[in-house]
Amino acid sequence: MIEALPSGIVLGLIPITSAGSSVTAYLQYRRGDQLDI
Amino acid sequence: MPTITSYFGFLLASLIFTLALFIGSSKIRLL
Repeated sequence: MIEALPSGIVLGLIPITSAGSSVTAYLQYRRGDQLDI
Repeated sequence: MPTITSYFGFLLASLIFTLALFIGSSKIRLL
């Protein structure tokens, strides 16, 4: 018995987390730890 | 099927939430 809604949320957290840390790492790599977008 | 709907719904909700926070903080010159 696996709940459907929490499974979708848990699976959706994976690309959100990897995309967020990739974007933040790229911004720090480009402009040196300052978020002046 | 409900898992896939929840997956894309969560992605959509988090994207909208992040975009709203980013645009809002840009509007008040916070970011």
